[in-house]
Amino acid sequence: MDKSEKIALILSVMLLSLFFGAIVYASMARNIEVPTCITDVEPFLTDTLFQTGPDEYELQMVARMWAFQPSVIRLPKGSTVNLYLTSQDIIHGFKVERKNVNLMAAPGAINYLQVTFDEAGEYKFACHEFCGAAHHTMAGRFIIEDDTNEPETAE
Amino acid sequence: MGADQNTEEEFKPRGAMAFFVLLLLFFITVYFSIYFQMLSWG
Amino acid sequence: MNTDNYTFQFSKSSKYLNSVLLIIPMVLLFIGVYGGLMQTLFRAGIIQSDPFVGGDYYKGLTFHGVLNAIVFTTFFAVALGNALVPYSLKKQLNSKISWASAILMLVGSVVAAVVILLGEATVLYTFYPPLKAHPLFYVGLTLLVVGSWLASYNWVPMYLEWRKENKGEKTPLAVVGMFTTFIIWFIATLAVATEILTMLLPWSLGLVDEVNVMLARTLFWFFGHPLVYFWLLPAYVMYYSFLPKIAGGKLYSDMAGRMVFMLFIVFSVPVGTHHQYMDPAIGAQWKLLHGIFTFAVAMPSLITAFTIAASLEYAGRQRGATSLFGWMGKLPYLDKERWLFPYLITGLVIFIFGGIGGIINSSYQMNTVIHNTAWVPGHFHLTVAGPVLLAFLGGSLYLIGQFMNKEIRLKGTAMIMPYIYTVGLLIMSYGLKIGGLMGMPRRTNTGASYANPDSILYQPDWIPYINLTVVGGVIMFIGIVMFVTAFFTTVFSKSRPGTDSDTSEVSFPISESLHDEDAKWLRNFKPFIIIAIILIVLSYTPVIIDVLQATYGGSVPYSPNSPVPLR
Repeated sequence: MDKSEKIALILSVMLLSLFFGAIVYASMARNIEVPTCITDVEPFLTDTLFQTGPDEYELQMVARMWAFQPSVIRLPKGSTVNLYLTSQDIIHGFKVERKNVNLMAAPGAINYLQVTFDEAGEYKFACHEFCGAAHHTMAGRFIIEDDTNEPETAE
Repeated sequence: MGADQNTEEEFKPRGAMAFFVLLLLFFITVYFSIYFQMLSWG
Repeated sequence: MNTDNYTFQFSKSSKYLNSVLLIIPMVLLFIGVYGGLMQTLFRAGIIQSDPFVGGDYYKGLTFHGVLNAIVFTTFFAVALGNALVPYSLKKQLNSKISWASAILMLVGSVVAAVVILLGEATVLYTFYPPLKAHPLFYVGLTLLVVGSWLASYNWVPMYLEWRKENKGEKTPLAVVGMFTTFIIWFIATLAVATEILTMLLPWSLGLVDEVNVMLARTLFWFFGHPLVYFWLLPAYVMYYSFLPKIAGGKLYSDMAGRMVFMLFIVFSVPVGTHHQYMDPAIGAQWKLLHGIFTFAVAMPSLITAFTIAASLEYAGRQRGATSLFGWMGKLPYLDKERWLFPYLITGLVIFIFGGIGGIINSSYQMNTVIHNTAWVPGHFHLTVAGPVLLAFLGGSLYLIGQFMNKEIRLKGTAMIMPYIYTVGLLIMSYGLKIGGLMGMPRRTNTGASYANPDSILYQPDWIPYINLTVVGGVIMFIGIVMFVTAFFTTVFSKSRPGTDSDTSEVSFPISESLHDEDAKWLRNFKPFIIIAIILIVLSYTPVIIDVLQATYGGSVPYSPNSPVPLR
């Protein structure tokens, strides 16, 4: 192989290794992960939110044509949410602004992610997978509050 | 023809190499701007 | 165009066939492009209904994706193969097979297009169940794919014969590239054919009640990622085979080209789950494995960037450039006689932005930042609607001139169009990408909600970026109109004077190589295909097992228009 092609190859490998190192760091040191396969959760088709610890909650969310259930979730600042997401009908998407929460909701499967809301504010979410005629109305929000209100959800 | 072949063999793609290095630096910049966005949302 | 002295006389039947394979898809492409323009206007809330197909944004999105990204691209890949394989190997196509394949492809495409335009298949080009389309949608796509297989089978006996007659000689690089394209395509389409024929078609006909949605989605993406290499590789064939010659130079390294194509064979398929990073029912470790293979498939594109740059540098230095970057200025950007050059060079520049976007998207958890946001169409317009489309348009115009024995008309328009289109594309993709980072979803009629000041979902922050997509999209549309005008003016013009169209000969600007390395290990497809199959089994077996184990219950069909299932 020509010498400059060899150099280009080596530089390319170095670039991709750099990127891979960054990925490994984000996973190991910052706990930023992709959803994995879970098989130990009972299927659900109604939404629930309950507290499981001082700052920890479990939220079971159901996506359906054309709303998230719940669509408004009010939580205190510093909450860690174990979010379980499924769909009642077809494939939907779920992305929360300004957070690393981006999930697909599929019927017949449960998706899981953990997210911590360190800062107060409103975090809107929207469906981002085409799900029919009113797809563009399918949205909601997390409202993270400074004062220690009871967590609550709304449809 | 012989002279052509000489210049051909002597051709070293230093411009392409420089372009390639700049390309990779550009890639690193774009990549890590998204990466740090991700870290800040964590 | 600066071409070889070598010309080839295609049979009359082949010339007619290839012309049909170029002209009809160009009409379908234009319909799809119209859909694209309408989308930018819908999304900004400028219109909520269009003159020809009415008010369904998502129907427009479906025919835009299917006609542009599936139909037009498949036809061009077949046409390019039907051109370069006979030309390079000096053998004629088997007429019966090529016409059979063309008829399957045409019937399939038209059936699918009609069903979509009638509103019976508003499921987007990914057709994820349990959204259900009319059975003829699935039938149409199947016919298109099977027809494309048939077209490629035509070339195999030609190649085998050529190998026997030319023992020890290197297969022409263009042929290596086209075979690579269709080897990958065949492996990939096996999965989507399985999805359609064993799952979606029976289900849409009511023969089967339920489908496993995650399994269907996984099979689709087994196909969906190599699909982008099916798109990209014919453009690479033009970059490696044509571009150096048109630029006035030589391909820097023949070996690099062959290595790139072999790497694509190995790594194009075992990567599809990087489109499913955010899916349930698939283990994170398998997602990481697919991510690693995806980094591997980035390598041949990086090598291509260097090799083509070196080839262009050589061309520039032949024209007198001496400084480090001066050669960039000495290329035929505005030479009407080399009008194909702009189609290829603009694509390469655009691909700089498309390529890094792709690497980001495939970077495991970084996908969280952009998945299914408007960033994604921002990315893929910089790839399939950038380098691929431009190369395919330029290639189509070149091929139609050759096969119909016509001078290219409106050369100036044809020459300048890629630059105009590129400006529009960069503007539009910038708007989409930044909007996406701000959370704007893709596949969404934002004009009806997020961009509508009267809606409770109104996102004023997104408006400037949506407006950029309108500006960019309109400029892109103008570019396409310019191209289509040049194309059809050429089609309807008189043949080259003093020639007989029946016996006219065809030529292509095939580049010589500066470094023509022996590299025997790269000159056989078989070992690379075997490695590809091994990697596919390794990467997909655990994914399929996870999907089957972690999903429960199948899904009945839904129409996009109602939350009440169809049965």
